[in-house]
Amino acid sequence: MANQNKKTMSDAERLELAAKLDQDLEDFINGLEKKPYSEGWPEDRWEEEMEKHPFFMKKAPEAGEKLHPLMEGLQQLKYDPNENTPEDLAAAYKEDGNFNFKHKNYRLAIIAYTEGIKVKCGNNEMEASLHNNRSAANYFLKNYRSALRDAELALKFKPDYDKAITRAAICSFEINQYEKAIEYCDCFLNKKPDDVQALQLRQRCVNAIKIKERDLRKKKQLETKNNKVEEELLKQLLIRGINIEGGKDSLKLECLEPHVPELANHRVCLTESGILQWPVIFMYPEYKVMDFIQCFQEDEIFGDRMHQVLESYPEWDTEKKYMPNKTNVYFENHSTSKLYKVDVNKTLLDILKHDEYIIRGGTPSFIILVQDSPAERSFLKQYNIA
Amino acid sequence: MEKQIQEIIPFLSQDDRPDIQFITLQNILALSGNAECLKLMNQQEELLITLLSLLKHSNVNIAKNSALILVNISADINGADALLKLNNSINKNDLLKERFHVGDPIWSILKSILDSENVLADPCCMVLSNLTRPKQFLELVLDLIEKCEITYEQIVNVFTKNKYNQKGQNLYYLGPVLSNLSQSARVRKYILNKDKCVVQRLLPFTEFEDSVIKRGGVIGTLRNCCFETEYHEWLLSDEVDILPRLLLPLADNTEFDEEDNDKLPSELQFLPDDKTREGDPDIRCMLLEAITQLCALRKNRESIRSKNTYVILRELHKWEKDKKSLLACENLVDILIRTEEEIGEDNLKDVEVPPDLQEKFDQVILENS
Repeated sequence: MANQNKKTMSDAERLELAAKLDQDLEDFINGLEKKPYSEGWPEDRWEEEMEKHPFFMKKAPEAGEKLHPLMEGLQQLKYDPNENTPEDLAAAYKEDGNFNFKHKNYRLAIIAYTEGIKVKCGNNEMEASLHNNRSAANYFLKNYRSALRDAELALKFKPDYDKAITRAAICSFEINQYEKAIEYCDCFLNKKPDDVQALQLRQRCVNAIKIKERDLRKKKQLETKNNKVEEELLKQLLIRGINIEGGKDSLKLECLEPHVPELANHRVCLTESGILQWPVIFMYPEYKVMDFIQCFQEDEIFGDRMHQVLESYPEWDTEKKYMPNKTNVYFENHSTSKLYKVDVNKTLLDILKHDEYIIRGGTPSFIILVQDSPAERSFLKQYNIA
Repeated sequence: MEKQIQEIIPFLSQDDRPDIQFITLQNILALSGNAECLKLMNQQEELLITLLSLLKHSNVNIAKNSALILVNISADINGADALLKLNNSINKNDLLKERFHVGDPIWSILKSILDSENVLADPCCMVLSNLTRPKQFLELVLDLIEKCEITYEQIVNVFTKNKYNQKGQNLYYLGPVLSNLSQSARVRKYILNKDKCVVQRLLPFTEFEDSVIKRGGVIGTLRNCCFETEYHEWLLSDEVDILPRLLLPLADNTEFDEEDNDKLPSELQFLPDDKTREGDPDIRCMLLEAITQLCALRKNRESIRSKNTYVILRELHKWEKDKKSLLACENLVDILIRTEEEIGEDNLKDVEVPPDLQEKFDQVILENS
C-alpha cells in the first residue's frame, strides 16, 4: 500500500503536501503560548555565564564552588562509577591530579589522587603511581610526614619504585628520622651505587645522627648529674634534721620549691663546699612589706645578715626605727599558730634545727618587729607565744 | 680406614633412600671431627662432589649435614685446597659440568649466602670464611667469585643489611670472609671506592654488640684497608670519618674535662656510664694498628692529634692488661706525642730501619706474643 501511495504522488501533490506541512508547523508555533525568551544569558551578565559554561570556562572550578549543571553532567560522565571501570576512574582522577599538580595546585591534586586511591582499582602500578604522586604533592606542601607515608604506601604496591624510595629518604631526613633515611638511601644505592645525591644525603644523615646522639648523651649525662645533686641535697637536709612541710614521710624536691615569684629559681641548694644556701623571707607586719633574700648561707649568723639588710634604712622605714639591735625576730609554726622568738646570735642552721621550725614552701621566713613597739604588742596578741 | 670411607660414599648417592643418606651423613660428620679421618676425606674427590650437590637437597637435614661436613673439611688447609681444585675437575668433566655451575664450589656457596630464604647460609659463610683464610688460595677464590658474576657489592649488601636472611641465619661469618678478602688489593680497591658507599657502611659495625665474629671481621677489614696510604686522607675526611669509629671501641665511660671533651670527635663525647671497651684484646690490637697505619703521613698525623686521640689512648693504657695491645698502644702514643719537628719525616713508611734494629724489634715482638 505504501509503495502504491508513493508511486501515485505527483509533483504537484508533493508540493501541496510540503506547503501543508509548512503551514501546520507555522500554526503550531503560532498556537504556542506567547512568552518572552527568558532562558538565555542576560545581556549584563553574559560574560559571567559564559565563564561558567563548561565549553567556554577558562579555569577549572575551585573546590567547594557550586558547579554548573552542565559541568556536573560532564563530571558524572567522567566520574560516575556506573559509567566507568575502576581502572578508568582511577586513571581519570590521576589525570586530574597531574593537571592540578602541574599548575602547582597541590591541595587540589591531593584531593584528586585521594579520590583515585579510594577507588581501589586493584592495579598495583596505578595504585603505586597514585600514592607516589600524592606523596610528591604533599612533599611540595612540606607535609613531610604525609609525604613519607604515601611514599611508603607506594613502595608496598611497587617495591622498586625509585622515585618513591628517593622521596621516602628525603622526607625521613626532613622529619629527623635519620636512621630510616639511611635505610632508604642504601636501598637506592643498592641499585645505583654511585648516585651522588643519595650519597650526599646519606652523609648528611650520618653527620646528623652523630650530633643527635652526642646531644642525647650530653642531656642524659646532665640529667644524671642533676639527679645526683638533688639526691645529695635531700640527704643533707635529712642529716641536719631540718623539718620541711609535707616532707615528713618522704622528702621530695617539690616540697622545697619557693612559692613566691621573687624567689623562683632560688631553691635551696648545696654549694660545692657542702653548705646549704636558702632563700629566706623577712616579713615586717607593721608595714606589710617583705624582704626576699635569695642566698642565705646556713652558717651565717642571723644577726649579721639582718644587719646587712637593715643597715641603710629601708625606704618604708621612714621613722628609721628598724635598727637591728632594737628589733625582735620571730618565726611561726603554722600548724600550731605559735610564735617563737629567735636568738639572732645563732646561725641560720641552728635556728632552722629548732624542733618547732617547719619550713614552708622551701623558704624559711622570719617576722621582724621593733622591740616593745605598739605594732609588736598588737601583733603578738594574735598569737600564743611559746 | 680409607677403605671404610670409600665404602660408605655410595650410600650418599641413594637418592631414593633419604633416610640412608641422612644416617651416612651423620656418620661422616662425626668422623670429620677427627683429624686423621679428615685427612682421608680430603682425598676423596667423589665425596666432596657428592657433598656439594647434597647442599641443594630438598631435605633440610641432609643439606645441613652436608654443609657442616664441608665446614670441617674446609677448615683444614688440605681440605680447602681439595675443595677449590674441584673447579678444575668440574671443568674437565662434561658430566659434572652439567650438574654444577661455572665457578663452583664457590658459586653454590655464594648463592646460598645471597639467597635470603636459605637455611644453610650460616654454614656456607663458615665454609667461605675457611676457604678465603689461607693467603695462598685467596687470588684463586677471587677469580672464582668473579667467574660466578657475583659482585663484592652483593656480598657487602647482604652483610650490612639488618636481618637480610629471613630464616634466622645471621651471616656473622661474612665478617671474617670480608676481612680475609680484604687482604687482596683488588677487594680493598672496591671497598675504598670513593664513588661508592662501602667502607662507610661497614663503620657502624665496629661497635656491633651482638657478635664478636662480625665485629672482629669488620675491624679486620678496616685494618687491612688502612694499609692503603693513598686513601688515608679520604678515610680521615668528613666523607668517611673513620677515626671516631676506630677510637670508640677503645673508649670507656671516662669523663673528660670540658676542654678535652670539646676537642674529641662528637661520637666520643659524653659517653654513657655503661660504655665499656672492646672486650677482645686481638680486636683492640687491630684497632690500634689501624690508627697507627693512618699515622703514616704528617698531614694525617696532625689531623689525628687534633682530634684528641691521645686522651683516649692514655685512658686505655691505664686500663690495658694485654701485653700485645699495650705495646700497640705505646707504639701509637710514641708517634702522637712527638712533635713533627722531632719526627722530621713526612711518610713514616719511608723510614729505613737498620738491620740490627729490625732484629731487636723482632725480638721485642716475639717476647710479647
